[in-house]
Amino acid sequence: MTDISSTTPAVQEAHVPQTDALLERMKTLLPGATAVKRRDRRYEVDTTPEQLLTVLETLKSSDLGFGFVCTIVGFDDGTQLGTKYILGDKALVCSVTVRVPNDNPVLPTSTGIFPASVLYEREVHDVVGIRFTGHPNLSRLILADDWPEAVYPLRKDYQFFKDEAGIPVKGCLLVDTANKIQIKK
Amino acid sequence: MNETLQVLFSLFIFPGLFGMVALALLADWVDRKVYARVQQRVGPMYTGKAGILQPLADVIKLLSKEDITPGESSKFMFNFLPLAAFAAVMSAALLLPIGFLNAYNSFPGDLLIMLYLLGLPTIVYFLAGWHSHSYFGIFGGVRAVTQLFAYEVPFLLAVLTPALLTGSWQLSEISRLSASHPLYLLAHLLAFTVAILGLQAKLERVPFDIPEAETEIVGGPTTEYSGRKLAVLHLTHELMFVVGSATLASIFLGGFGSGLWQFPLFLVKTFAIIFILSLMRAAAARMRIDQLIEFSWKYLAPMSCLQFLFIIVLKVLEIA
Amino acid sequence: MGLVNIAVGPQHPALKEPINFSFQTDGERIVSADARIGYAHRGIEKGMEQNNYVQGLFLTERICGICSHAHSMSYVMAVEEAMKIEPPKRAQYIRCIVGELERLHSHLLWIGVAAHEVGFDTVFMYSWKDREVVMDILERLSGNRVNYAINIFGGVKRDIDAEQAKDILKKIEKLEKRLQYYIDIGEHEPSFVARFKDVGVLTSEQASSLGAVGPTARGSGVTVDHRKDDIFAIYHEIDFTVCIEQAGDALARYIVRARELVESCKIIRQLLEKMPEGEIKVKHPRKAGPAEVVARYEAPRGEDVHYLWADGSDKPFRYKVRAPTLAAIPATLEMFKNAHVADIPVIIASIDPCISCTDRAIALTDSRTGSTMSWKELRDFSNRWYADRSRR
Repeated sequence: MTDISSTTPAVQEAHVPQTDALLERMKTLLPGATAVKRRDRRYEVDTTPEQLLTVLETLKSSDLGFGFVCTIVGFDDGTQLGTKYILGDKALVCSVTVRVPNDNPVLPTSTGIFPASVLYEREVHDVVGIRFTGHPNLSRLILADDWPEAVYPLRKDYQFFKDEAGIPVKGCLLVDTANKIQIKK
Repeated sequence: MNETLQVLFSLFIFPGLFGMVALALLADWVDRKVYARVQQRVGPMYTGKAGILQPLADVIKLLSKEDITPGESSKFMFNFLPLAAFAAVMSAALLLPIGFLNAYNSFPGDLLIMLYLLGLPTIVYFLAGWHSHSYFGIFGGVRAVTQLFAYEVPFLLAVLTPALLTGSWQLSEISRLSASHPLYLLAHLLAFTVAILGLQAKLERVPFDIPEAETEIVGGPTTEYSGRKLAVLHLTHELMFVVGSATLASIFLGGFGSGLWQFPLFLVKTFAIIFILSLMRAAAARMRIDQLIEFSWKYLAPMSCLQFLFIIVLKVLEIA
Repeated sequence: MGLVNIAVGPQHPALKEPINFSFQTDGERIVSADARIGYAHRGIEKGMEQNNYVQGLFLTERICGICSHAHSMSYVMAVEEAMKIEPPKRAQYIRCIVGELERLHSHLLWIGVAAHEVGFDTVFMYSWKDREVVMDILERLSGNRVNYAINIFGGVKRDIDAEQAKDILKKIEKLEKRLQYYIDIGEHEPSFVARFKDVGVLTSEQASSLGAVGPTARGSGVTVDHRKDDIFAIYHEIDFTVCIEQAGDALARYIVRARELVESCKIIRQLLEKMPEGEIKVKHPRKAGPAEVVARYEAPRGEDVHYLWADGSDKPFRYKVRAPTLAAIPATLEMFKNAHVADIPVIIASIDPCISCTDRAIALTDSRTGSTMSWKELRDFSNRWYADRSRR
């Protein structure tokens, strides 16, 4: 039961031995992408929107065998939007990170490679606002039907306020710097 | 006794309106208690001694609820249909071979009229579902009629087999014959089984409660009914339970005799059949409509035909 | 008649939680199906970004009532990895005991619900009566029937003493004798088998490509059980078998869950016998990270994935929960093709839907105006609305 203790955070990559058979294989098969090993059984790949589909396809169908998509995380790291595709094999997890510019958040859909990502991409579109070209149905999944357009709750510039008791007060302030939408009630 | 008094007694007390309704509520209580005990529960406990007033409390509660009619349906039909079903079953109750007025309610062919009246509520369910203008109602109504096609023929054949043996369509004659020859029940075993299963299907209880499949189509034909109309439909269902069981008891289990012995015999024999039906409800899952049709036409119909042939053979060989 | 659109949900007796499936049917056959979730949406992911890690512990537990310990475990495993602490062995054992007890009560609940969907209320009553035994054990251990709050970063909050352990063993032994009955029902009871057999068939390839997890996938022959595949908590020291069935229909999924009940009893017995002495928790720091962690746990419904992006402060930067039922929805939509309308509740029930897990994420504003209402305002509004209505 010593696996958790061998974790190391991202900053101290130098301490994690990068020599690992699977890691080497990944680096060979994915020339353009950066592959690192976070800890035992956890791998990370960084890539660009143009190379995304090739990377996903290679990870799935080659002998690397990450055939299962666990989930797709949409995030906003303060400056850029992005998605992480968390792919899994029996015990191994590989997260593929791709970042998109804020003014044109478009990515190709991965439903051709992983049919299971149809709902995950819909959720990312709903809450972070990244559009996936070629997706069969990008309608609302979790937000209410009459949620205002172009208001993406999980972006960092979407905030709400609480009073002293911690209860959200009336009115939500949305400052979307790109489109300069200000909704204050 | 004065003739008018006798008629009034029969029409309103026994086997008339209030007596039958009271028996229907008693049958509901027995059903719920048996169902609960099989499931290791206790059933109704607090209203009245051992919960015996619970069915009455349910009817009173329903009567006091808001009565909503869907806007798009015909008001007349929607309101009339529960009363039509109740009237049909109440009239069937009056034809049972009990009470003091056998001169009035017993005539050749009354078995057929009884079976016809007991079949009317199913048509009413279909119409009720249709006039509900809701998806669940229409679907439930269609299923009720489809189920009718499945069980009605075997049920009729099974119930008419003792009539064949008796040589008469009169219910009191049939029950007299089976009372004087108790061993005839063994000859009619196949018919009795088919009749019990057919009655459970007619009453739309598990395993045959497809039209009212709660987890699939909410309430079936009765989805849009509420308040007083639902109370009438509920009472109709319970009444049909008692009348159907009493019919089967008088055909197969030897009837109820005459005079004052009628009351205890009626209770014992009818509630024996009610007990069997309640056990069936607790011990099986609901069937699907295509499985029911397959089961009826592959097993029930041949069984009743076989029984029919058997009785014909018995009659020809002069055994019976 | 032509194609009819049926909407099942969000309110329907077949559903224990609100979800909306819309079908197009031709008579009694389903032609196509679509799902819409979000009715139990509470804003947990955004909420976690605003609260620190200890407050997040309460939030994750309340993602769901039946699988609350599963979510709590994934969260605690993720945060412990980010905090670089390791809980002692005794704490891991206690966590696994509560996890397996939760699996027991969740599967027993499911058996009752599945029987109720086909109108077999007797099995429903029996299985929920047996479930009360498990709820009593859990209440004795943690003080609550659901939402046990037994996890804390670095260990567990409560210990199991010798008397409690003896009580658990006795109750589990009595329960195990009753469990064979449910396996028998799935194999021999004709009316039950008739409703579940060949309903909602999912082939092995479909299950893997559509991302089904847990008993849904194991019923189709896909060998995936996270307790055996991955190394987490203490499962690699315990001996148990993974239950796989090949048929891929609803009956196979029922048998998988019924057999898993027996396996869970076996695991609990081994855990109680092997539990070592020692501390039950270590101290944990207030801040975590910076780190990116993916934690996976085998919840009763399948694989529960939590993703944590810690940035070194005391609040998570981004937190994502992927509950197992969300992964099962595309597979369910595939199962609906060419099924009867009467099979809809059986198919929905066979994936063991836990819609509260499926729906977390983002903010709390209100409907038409886009403004938020505080709880007090909501209460006033509803009182006024009903008063106006009764006056009319």
